[in-house]
Order: sequence, then structure tokens, then C-alpha cells
Amino acid sequence: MVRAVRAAELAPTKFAFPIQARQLKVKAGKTTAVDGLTVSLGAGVHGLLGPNGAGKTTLIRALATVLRPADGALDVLGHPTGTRAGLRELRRHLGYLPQEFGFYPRFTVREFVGYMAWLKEVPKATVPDAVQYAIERVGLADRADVKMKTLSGGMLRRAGIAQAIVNDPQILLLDEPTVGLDPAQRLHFRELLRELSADTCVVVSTHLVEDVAAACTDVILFDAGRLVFQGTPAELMAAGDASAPGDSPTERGYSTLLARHQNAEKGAR
Amino acid sequence: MISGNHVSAEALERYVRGEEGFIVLEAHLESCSLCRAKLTEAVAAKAPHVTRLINDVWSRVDTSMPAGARQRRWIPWLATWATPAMQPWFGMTVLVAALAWVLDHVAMRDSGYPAVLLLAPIAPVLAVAASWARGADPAHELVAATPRAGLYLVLRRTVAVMALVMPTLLAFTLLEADIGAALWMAPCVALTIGTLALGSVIELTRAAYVLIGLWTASVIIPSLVTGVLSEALEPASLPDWIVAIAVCGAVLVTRADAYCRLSRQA
Repeated sequence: MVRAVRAAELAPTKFAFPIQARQLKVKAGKTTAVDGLTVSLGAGVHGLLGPNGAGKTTLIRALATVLRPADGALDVLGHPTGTRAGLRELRRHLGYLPQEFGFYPRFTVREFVGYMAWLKEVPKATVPDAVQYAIERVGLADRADVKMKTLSGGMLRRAGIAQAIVNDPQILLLDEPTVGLDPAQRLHFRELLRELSADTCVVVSTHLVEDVAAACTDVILFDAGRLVFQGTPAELMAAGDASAPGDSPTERGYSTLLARHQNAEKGAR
Repeated sequence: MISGNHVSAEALERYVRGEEGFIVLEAHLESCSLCRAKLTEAVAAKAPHVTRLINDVWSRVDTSMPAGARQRRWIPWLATWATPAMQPWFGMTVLVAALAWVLDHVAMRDSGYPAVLLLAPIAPVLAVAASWARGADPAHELVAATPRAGLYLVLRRTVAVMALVMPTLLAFTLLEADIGAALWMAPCVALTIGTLALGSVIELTRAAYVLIGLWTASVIIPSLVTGVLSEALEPASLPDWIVAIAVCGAVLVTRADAYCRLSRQA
């Protein structure tokens, strides 16, 4: 697909990191699900790891500009997300796959992805090509004209990823994208992540430690709304005690760091 | 080789015979449909073996490709106006109007004014609210993170609701020979825009409930109890409704940002 390069794309960026959070607090209902998070994310695949209820989904929703920060600052592509100015421009460069994403069962995959492309203000002339490309990238080309209700769980998830990447986003937020994918699809998905990570800031939330080790350039370990650890998968592996529970070095690193953090929290109280 | 702005016939001929490959010529062909047309003629006339080859390739490609699925062209267009999630609300609105009409004619209600008139102004309100409610649209979470999320999209969906509701109501009221459309149309538009204006302050669904409640309490119930049509639906109150439309419209425009607002909590 040939596309023109706009002046805006060549303009120097005015921010150091696509995602920058300082003392970020986000509420989910009445509880503060993200509590004083300070983190900077550049290009690459960032694995957001943590136990259930750690605040992963809330953080992703705040990054997707669906939730407003309750306190602190969250800059995405240089736009402060707490304000409304510039929000529309920012959202053009976002790709977002919620954990449970709703869809219209009678739409075909192509219609669904095309509808999302319209919502994301993809230029009308390029929509059909962009839709086809996104669907092919997730390996769903043979099902492109099949109704969504007939798809299996893994295929639905891939359709969800297709809609997330249809606008060629600079920031891609994926909440539990590997749920429901079989091992072969998982490998394919990791490859796609690697492909995207060259020029995109990808944030993938997961509770599957092996996904992180295999596909992420950076790990963010997160518990009860607080940052526990940020580093490379290798550093996560190195942090593990031999005696810690887990079947792989990554899992041992995960449980060691988490246990250490939880003990420190208890001690502080 | 390229005379004027186009490829000369002689150069094209040499190109077709494969005597020379011209990068410049090919670059020009890519952007010039006129010269491509000339090339097609030249190929057909001078190089039948190329034509045979191309036809052969096409026929093989045709048989090896699966038949393309039929695309529904109207669905992508329609989706930009109304989501499938709005369908049941459309149905409900039409049903309410139909019920009011049945009430008048089958139940032989004898009060001098039709029940359709009482219900018409609130008919589109719920459908409008449902078009932007988190609970009513499964894709709301996806939509909320897109650039189009905002007043523009809400208004587009409102227009879609009105485009269906207004003709339906008009049809039912025209069945009653003696009522003018303006009687209910002005309050109908006012309540719809009022819902959107109030919805920019409180949640849209709640705004719809508030206005439906107010209308029921101040117009429907008194009219039913006293048997006299409320003043709000008399021609004399038309200017008031127009003022209300203008005020609500102004509020809506100034509060437009609220519709791309991020919710503080889910």
C-alpha cells in the first residue's frame, strides 16, 4: 500500500517517551486501582505483568484515554490525558483491545474492522486497503467475510487485534490478547508483536509469564497499583531465587520479586 | 523518446518488441492512462504472444481464486449512523406510537385529543439515550477510545433516531385528521435536545429518565386525570418550545467537550 508521508509525521517529536506517567493515580469505582505509578515507556513491547486485581486493566484503560487520571500526570504522545485538548489527535494514533471487547454479531470481520477504521478517522480512500492489511496481518484473511458470531474465541481475539492495528497506531494497548489463542496462534501473535515493536510502543497486559519472556523487550511488574519491577526479561529471570516457586527462571523471578514486594509492603504497614 | 508529455508511437513499438527496456518510459506508463491505452493497442497489434500469455495467466488466476464474498455496501454506511445495538430501541419507539394509536381507536377512549399526542414528544428520548449508553452498546468501550467519540457521533446517532421516529409519528398523527404536526414536533425536538444538553452534565441515560419523568408528571398525568389536553401541547406554547430548543442547543454546543470526556471511573 503506497501512502503519502505527511509533514506531521516528519516533525520532530516533542516528547522523550510515548508514554510517561508521574505519580499516576487512577480509580476503578471507589478503589484506587493504580496508586502512585511513575514509569516511562519507549518504543518496544512492554509486558504488563501482575496478579489478578493488580490494576493492569485500569492502567490500560487510562492509557486508552477511556479513564481520566484521578491524580498525578499521564502524558501519552506528549498529550496530557487529563485534559480534553488534543485528545482527538491523540486518539487517532491509539490502538486499543479491551479485555472483553464488544462487537456486533451480525457484522462480518471486514465490516467490523472497517467500522472501527471509520471511528478512528482513517482516510476514507485508504480504509479498504487498511482493513485488508490488518486482517491479513492477524491471519484472518480466509474468514474476512464471515459473520462475527460464527468465529471461535481465538478468532474473535484476532479480529480484535485487527481493529486495534487498522489505523497503524503509534501506541498499541492490548489487554490480555493471548487469552483463547492456541499455541500456534500464540507463536504467530508473538511474531506480530515483534514486527510491530520496531516503531510502535506496545503495551501488553498479561498474567501469563511465558508470554512476557518470549515476546517482550521490557517487563513491568505491577502489584496492587504499584510498580514492583521494571527491566528486561533477562533481568527478571536473573532476579529469581532457586528456591522460589515456579517452573521456569522467568516464573521464579516473578514470584521472588512479587513476594519480596508484598513482604516489604506488609513491613511498611 | 518521450515526445511532448507522452510516449511516441515508435518508442512504444520498440518497447513492445522487447528491443529496449526503458525505465523512464515505464515510470511514465505507471502514471499515464492514455499511454497505457496506447500500449494495450500496440501489444494487441504487434505482439500477439504477449496477449496470449496474459490471457492465459488471468484465466489461471481466476480459477485458483475463491469467489469473492458479496460485500454489503449499505452496512458500513449505515453503521456510521446507527449501531445494531440501537435496533430494539427503534422497534420500541414505533411500538409505543402504535400502542397509543390502538388505545385511541380500539379502546374507544373518548377525551377529545389523541394519546399519540401525549407520547410523541418523549418517543425518541430513550432511543437517543440508548445510542450512547455504556450498557446498551457492546462496543462502547472500543468506541470511547476513538477520535470520533464525541458530540459529533452522538448527534449523528440522534439524527438517525429522529429520521426514523419522526416519519412514524407523523404517519400516526396524520391518521388523526385534526392535529397539526407542529403541536408535538416542537416539544419532541426540545425534549431530545434537552436530553442531550442535560446528558452533558449528568449521565445521558439518567438525563433521559429525568425528562421522561418530568413530562409524565407535568403533562401526561394531568391530561389524563382532567381529560383536558395540557397547555404545553396547545399551539399557544409553540414559541416557548422554540425558545427551549434554542437554549438547550446553546447549552449543548458550549458543553460539547463533555461528550468526549473521559469518565473518572467505570
